Amino acid sequence: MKLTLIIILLVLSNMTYAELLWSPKENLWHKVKQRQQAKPNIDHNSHMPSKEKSIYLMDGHHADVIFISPDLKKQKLSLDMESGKYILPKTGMDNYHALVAEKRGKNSHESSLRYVSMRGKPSGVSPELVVNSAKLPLEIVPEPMIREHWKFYTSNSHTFKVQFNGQPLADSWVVLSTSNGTKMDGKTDQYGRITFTFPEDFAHIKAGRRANKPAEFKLRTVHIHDDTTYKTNFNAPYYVNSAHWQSNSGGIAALSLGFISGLLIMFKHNRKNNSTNKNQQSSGIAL
Amino acid sequence: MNLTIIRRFVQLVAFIVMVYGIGLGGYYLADKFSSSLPALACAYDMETADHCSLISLQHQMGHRAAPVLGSGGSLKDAFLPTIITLLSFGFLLVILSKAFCGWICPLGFFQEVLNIIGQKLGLQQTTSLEQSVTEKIRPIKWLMMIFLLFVFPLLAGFGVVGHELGDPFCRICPSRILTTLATGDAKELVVDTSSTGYFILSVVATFLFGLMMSVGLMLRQPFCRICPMLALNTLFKKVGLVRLVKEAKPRCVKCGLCAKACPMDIHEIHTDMDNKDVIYPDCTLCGRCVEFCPDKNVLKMKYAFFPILSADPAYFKKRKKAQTQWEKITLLGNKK
Repeated sequence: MKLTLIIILLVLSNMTYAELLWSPKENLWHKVKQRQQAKPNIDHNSHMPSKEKSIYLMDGHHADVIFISPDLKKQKLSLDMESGKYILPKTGMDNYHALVAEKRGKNSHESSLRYVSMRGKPSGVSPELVVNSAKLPLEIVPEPMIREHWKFYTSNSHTFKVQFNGQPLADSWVVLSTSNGTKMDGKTDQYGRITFTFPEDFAHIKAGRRANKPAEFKLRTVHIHDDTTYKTNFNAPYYVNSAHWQSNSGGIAALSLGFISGLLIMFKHNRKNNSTNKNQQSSGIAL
Repeated sequence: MNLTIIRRFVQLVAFIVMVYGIGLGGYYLADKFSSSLPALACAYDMETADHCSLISLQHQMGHRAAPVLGSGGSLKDAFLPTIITLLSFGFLLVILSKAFCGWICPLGFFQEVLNIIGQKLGLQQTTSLEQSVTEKIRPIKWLMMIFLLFVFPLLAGFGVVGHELGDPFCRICPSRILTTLATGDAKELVVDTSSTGYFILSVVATFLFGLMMSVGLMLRQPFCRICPMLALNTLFKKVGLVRLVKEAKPRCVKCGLCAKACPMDIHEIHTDMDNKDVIYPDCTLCGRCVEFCPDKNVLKMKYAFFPILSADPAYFKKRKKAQTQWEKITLLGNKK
C-alpha cells in the first residue's frame, strides 16, 4: 500500500510541474518536450571568472532557503523580488556550497538540493564535509560529488545514496529526469545506493567540451514516515561525454608509433656504441 | 637488504597510495592533503590520494593570474594562490627534498620497472649517456617548466593563445595516461579531434608515452631527464632536510663508479672535487651514488644532521655482488 502510494506520488510529480526545484533557467523544465538541448544561464564552469551567481527556485512560494558554505556555516536567503531569483552571496570561500530549499506542510515535507561551486579563498575543509553532512530529512547524496576534472557525463555511471534522517534508505524508488527529456528509474540497494548510466540524449553534438552546453538532470524520491510524506530532489548539470570527439584507437596508434620510434632510436644508439666500444654493458652497477 | 630494495618498497607503496589512494580517505583525500604534491600524481586519476602541484600552478596562471592582471588587479591578488601552492609545495620539499622524485613519484617508479623489464628481457642497456648528450638534454626541463607551467597558461588566460594551452604540461604528461590506465580508465589514451590544438597535443602526449615506454626499456629514467617537476624541485633543494654530501678524495679522480651508478647520468658527481653539497639539478636523491661509492665516507646521504647511509667498502662489495647476480637473471636464461 505504502509502496503503491510512493509510486503514484512519483508518477504524479513526473506529470506536474508544481515541484520545488532549483533551476538555472526559469522555464528550463517546463519546455522539456519542445527542447532538444538546455541552455542554462548559470556559470557551470567554475574555472572561469563569473558574475554574481543567481538561480531560480521553481514553485518556491513559502519555501525556506538556506545557503551552506563548505565549513557548514548557514545563511538564510531571501528571494530577490526584482529578478525573481535567489542571488547567491559571496562567502569568501571556494568550492562547493549547498543550496537547500524546504517546504513544510502539515503532513508533507518537500525539498530541493543543489551544489554550487563558488570562488574565494581556500575553505580549508574538504567538500566531503558539506556533501556528506545531513542537510535534509530525506536527502539524495552524490557518491562522490564531482571534483576537479570530473563531471556528470553522458554514458558514465554515477552513484547516489538516498538517506533518511542520516540513515541509508533501502528499496527506495528514485526517478532520474533530464532537461533533454529522458526519464529513468530504479530502486536503491540495501545500502541506499543507486547507480544510473546517464543517457546519451544530447542532440546536435559538436566536437569539443566547450562547444556543448550542459543540460540539467534531477533525481527524485519519496518516502513516507509517521504519516508525513517526504519528497526530495537533487539536481545538477551534466555534460556530453568526450568520447564523441576522442578516439582510443587513434591514441593507441600514436602510442604504438612512439613505441616503435623509441625502439629504433635506442637500437641505433646501441649499434653506434657497440661499434665504437664506448659503452660497457652489464657493469654490475646499471640497475 | 640494501637502500635500493628499501627504496623500491617505498616506491611501490607510494605508487599504490598515489594511484589508488582514495580507499584510505575517501574521494576528497587530495583536498584534505595538499593538492600540491612535488610528484606526478595525476588529478585526472579519479582514485588518486593527492594532486601534483603542476596542475594547480598552470590553472592559477590561466584562471587567476591572467584575469586578475587583465582587469587591473594587483600582483598580490593575481599570485596569492600561486604563493600558497608554492608554500605548501616548499613545506613538503623541506620534509623529503628531491626524494619526492626518486622515492615517491609514480612515473619515476614506472620507468624503473620498465628498465627492469628491459633488462630481464635481455635488451641491451645503455648504462649511461655521453656527457655531450646529457648536456643537450638538461635545459629541456627548464624550458618545459618556464613555458608549459607559466608562460603558455598565462598567455592562454590573456587570450593570446588558445585555451588548449591553458594546461599544456598536463596535456602531454605521461603520468596522466599512466595513472588513469592503472585504474582501468582509458579515457586519457586518446587522440582528440575537437580542434587542431587538442589534436596536436593529444598526439604528442600518446606518442611521448609510447616513446618513453620503449626508451625506458633500455635507458634509465628517460622522462625524468626532461621533467619540469625535477626543475621545480631543484628551485627548493636548499630547504630540504635530505642532503647528499661529498668529501672528495684523490682516488675519486680515477674511480667514477658513482657517476656510472647514477640513473640520471650526473657526471659531475664524479668530477666535482670542490663542492660538498652534491644535490645537482638532475639529482632525484635515489642514493645509488652512495651505495656504489667504494671509499669510506666519501659520499653520505643525511637527513638533517643524521646519517642515512655513508659510503663504505664492505657495503659496496655486498651491493656490487648482489647487483651482478641480479643482472645475471633474465627471462632468457641466466647470463654467465
